[in-house]
Amino acid sequence: MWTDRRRSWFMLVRVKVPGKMSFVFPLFLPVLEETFDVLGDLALVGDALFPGVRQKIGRHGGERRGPKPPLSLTRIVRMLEAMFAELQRYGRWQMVEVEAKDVRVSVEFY
Amino acid sequence: MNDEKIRIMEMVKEGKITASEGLELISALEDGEGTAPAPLTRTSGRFLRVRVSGEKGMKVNVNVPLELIKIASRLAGVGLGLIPKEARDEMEKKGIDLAKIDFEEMVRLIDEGMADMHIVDVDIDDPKEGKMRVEVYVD
Repeated sequence: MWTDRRRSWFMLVRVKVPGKMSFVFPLFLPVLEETFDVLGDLALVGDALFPGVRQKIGRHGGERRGPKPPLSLTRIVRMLEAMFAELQRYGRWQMVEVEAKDVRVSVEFY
Repeated sequence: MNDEKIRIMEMVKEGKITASEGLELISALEDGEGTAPAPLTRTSGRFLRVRVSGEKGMKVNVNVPLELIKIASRLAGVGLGLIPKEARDEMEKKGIDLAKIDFEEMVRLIDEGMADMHIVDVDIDDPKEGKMRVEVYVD
């Protein structure tokens, strides 16, 4: 499992502001995956107990298409889960790197 | 049907199908169409890249997987609904109307193939940052 190079295991957020702060925040992606998994189950219960919440989450389909039917909480959590699953499919890569006036911010996956 | 969704999510986790393919399968299940999902895409493994470099040392480098954009576009409608009215009004004053952005159309264009395409390639002479180059492309 750990030798799968096509998969990312950590997300590293680095922020460096000279003279003020500098930190590296590592996030172990499988933990996030499990969290979304559990949140999905929780959302399933939420959808069953509070069906009204779904109606409050409106969805806009753009000017031509107009409003769309609302999404369930479960579907939203599953989509977020799918987004994080997608982020893990590229092995080692850099998502964001910004340098401006000695301030440096980067988001990398390993 | 829930078993089917769980199986799809497991296939995504195991890397057998992409997250975007998984979502399309789930959508097809939920819509009850009973038909196969739309044919998939040439987006897998490709990135939308944004590069900004300025002569005074400014550097921006953003890489976003196209598959991620496809998934996020499904949530974009929800995100637009959550933006406070004041913020929308402020953006409208600056000529930005979020309701006019058609995310599905964007995704369709991506699907149709933007391979090795430079979407933006401009040189700017900014009064603060000096000469800058902005590039947006897919590869």
